[in-house]
Amino acid sequence: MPESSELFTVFPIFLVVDVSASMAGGPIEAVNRSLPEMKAEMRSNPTVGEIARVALITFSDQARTVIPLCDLATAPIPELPVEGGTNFAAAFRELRAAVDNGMRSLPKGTPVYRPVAFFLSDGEHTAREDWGSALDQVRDDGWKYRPEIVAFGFGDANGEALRRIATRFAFLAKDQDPAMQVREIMQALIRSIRSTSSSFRDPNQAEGLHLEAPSEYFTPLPPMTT
Amino acid sequence: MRVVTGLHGSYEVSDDVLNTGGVGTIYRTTNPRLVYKEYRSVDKAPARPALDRLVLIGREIIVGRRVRLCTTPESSINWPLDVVADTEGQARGVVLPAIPPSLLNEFGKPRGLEFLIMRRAIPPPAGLRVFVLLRMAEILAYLDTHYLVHGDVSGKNLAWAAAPQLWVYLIDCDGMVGQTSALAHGVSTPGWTDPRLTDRLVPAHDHLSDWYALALAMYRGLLLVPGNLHNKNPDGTWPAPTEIPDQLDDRIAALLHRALDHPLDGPSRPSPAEWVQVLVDVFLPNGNYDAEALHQLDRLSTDPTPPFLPPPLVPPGPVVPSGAPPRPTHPPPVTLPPAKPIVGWAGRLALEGGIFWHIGMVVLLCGCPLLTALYVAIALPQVKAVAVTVPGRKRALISCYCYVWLGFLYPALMCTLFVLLGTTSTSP
Repeated sequence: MPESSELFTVFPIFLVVDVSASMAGGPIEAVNRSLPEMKAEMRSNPTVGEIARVALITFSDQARTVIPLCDLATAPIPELPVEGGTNFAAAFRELRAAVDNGMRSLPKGTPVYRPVAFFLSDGEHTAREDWGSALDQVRDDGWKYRPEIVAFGFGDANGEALRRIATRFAFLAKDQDPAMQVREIMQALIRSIRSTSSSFRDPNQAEGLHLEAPSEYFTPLPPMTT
Repeated sequence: MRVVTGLHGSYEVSDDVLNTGGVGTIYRTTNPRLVYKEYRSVDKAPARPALDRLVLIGREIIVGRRVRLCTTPESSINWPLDVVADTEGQARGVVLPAIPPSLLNEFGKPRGLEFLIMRRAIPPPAGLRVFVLLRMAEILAYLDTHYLVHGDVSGKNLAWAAAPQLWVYLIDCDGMVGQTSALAHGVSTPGWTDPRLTDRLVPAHDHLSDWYALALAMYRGLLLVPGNLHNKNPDGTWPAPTEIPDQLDDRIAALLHRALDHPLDGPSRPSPAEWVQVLVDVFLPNGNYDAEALHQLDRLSTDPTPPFLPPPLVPPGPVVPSGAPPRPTHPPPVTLPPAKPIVGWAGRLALEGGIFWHIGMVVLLCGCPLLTALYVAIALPQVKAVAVTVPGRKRALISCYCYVWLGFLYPALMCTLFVLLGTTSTSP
C-alpha cells in the first residue's frame, strides 16, 4: 500500500544531555525522572506523539546515542548513569551521526520538518581537543539535515559557549539548586515539544518553534553575531 | 479555600487547580460535581449576554429537568450553570459540571476524540466509533437547533468513555455564542482549523466551522486515516481527501466529499442533522446497529500498514529500543444498545405505551377532543427531544402529530355536521 499523502509532518527532536561527573546526584536524578514524563506526554497526547520523534544522546568524555530517533511512546527509557569529563566535540560528532541515521531511518515519503537539537550542559568543555570544528560540522550550511540548536545551561555552564553553540536560542537556568535547574529545563523541554508539535507549524519558521522557558526560571542569552 | 457567589448560589472553591489554559484556570469546589473556571482577565471572559443564555439553557436541562449527564444529546454538553460576576457585571468566572471521572484517561485528562480516531491510540472497533460519532453529530445538531456555535470542536474537546457506560461529552462550552453573533476573533485548535479561517475568509470560527470539524472527525474516525488536510498543495489550493475508499457507503462518501473536497465552500458542508440521518440510515436501519455494516466499516478501516514508524536503526551503545510495537488489534464489532430515552411521563407514554397509548387517545378524543390536543402538545416536544436512535421515536412522533390535528379537527367536524344537520332538519 502506498504511503498516505495525509500523514502529519514529523518534528525530529534530538536531546543532547551532559552526563559528566558533575551531574552526579540531584541533576542526573532529575533527568532520569523527567524522561519517563516525556514518554508519558507522548502517550497521553496522541497528536504530540504522532508528530514528535525523539532521540537521546548523552556525552561526557565520550558520547553515545542512547535512544535513536523514534516514537518515544514505544521506546524503553534507560536509567542514565554519570560518567567522566566533558567533551563537547564528542557530543557534536555523535549528534551529527544521530541526525544522519535518524533522518534516514524515517520511512520514505515521510514529511518532516528540519530537526531541532536541545543541548543541555552544566559545565565547560574539559577535553584537550578543540570542539569548534565538530560544532561547525553540525552547523554546516551544506548539510541537508542541519538542525536548529537550542542550548540550555545550568550549574557552571559557560554563557559564551552556549551562545556559540545555539543557532537560535540559549538560556541559563536561574535557580540556585542544580537539581531544580535541571528539573525546570526538562519541564521547559516537554512544554516546548508539546506546544511546537501541537502548533502544526514548521519549527524552523519564525514562530514555529515554541520555547516555553519562563523568565522567572531562565535568563535568555543574546544570540551571538558572527 | 474561598467562596465565590454567582447568580444562583455560593460555591466554596479550593486551591486545587485541575487545569490551566490560555483563557483561565479550573479549580475544584467542595461540591465534587462542580468546578469553578476563573478567567485570566475580563477580556478573556465571554460576553455576559452569551454566558447568561448558556446558563439559562444549561440550568433548564441539568437543574430544571434533572436530566442525568451524558444520557441525551442536550445533557452531553458541559453547560455553564452559574456566572460569577464583578461589581460591574462582567464575568470573572463560571461554575461548570465537573467532567465525570469515567471520561478521564489513565493520565487524568479527558479521553478526547484523539483516542477514538488516531491509530496510534489503539482506537475501539467500528461499533463504538460509530456510536460516539453519531452522538457527536446529535450534540452539534442540538446546538444548531438553538443557533449556537461551539467554535472549537477538536480532538480534545469531545470526551468519551466506553465503560461503565457509553458516554460522550462536549467540553469547553462556556465560550459558545449565537450563530448570528459576529465574532471578530476566537480560538481554534491546529489540525481542526476551518480553512476559511486560515485563508481569512471569516474572522473567527462560525457554525459552519463546527460542521467542518464534524466532517473531519467522521473522515478520520470512521476510516482511521491520518486525515491531515491542512497542508496546502503547492499551487495554494487545499487538498481534497484521498483516502475515501470506493467500498464506503455512498451516502457517507457523498457527505465526506461535500464537506472536504472544497473546504472553502462553507455553505455546502453537510449539517450535523444530515450526518445523524445518514449514520442512522447506514448503521441503524431498523433501530438497532447493523452488524454487517459495522463489519464492513471494520474491514475498511483496518490498515495493513503498522500505525507507528518502524523501529529505528540499532545504534552502537548499551541501550536500544525494542522492536516494532504491536499493531492495534480490532476486536469484533459490538452491537450497542440504543441510548435510553429520558423523557417526561407524557412523552414516555407515547414512546412506550404501544396499543394502550392509542386506545387512551381515541377514548380521550371521543370524550374531550381539545384535552387530547393539549395532552399531545405536552408529549410532542418530549418525544422530539429524545435521540433519533431511540426505537419507536418516529412512530410516536407521527401518532402525536395525528392526534394533535384530530384533537382540533374533530370538534370542528362535529360542529360542521351539527350545522348541516340543523340546516337540513329546519328546511321546508
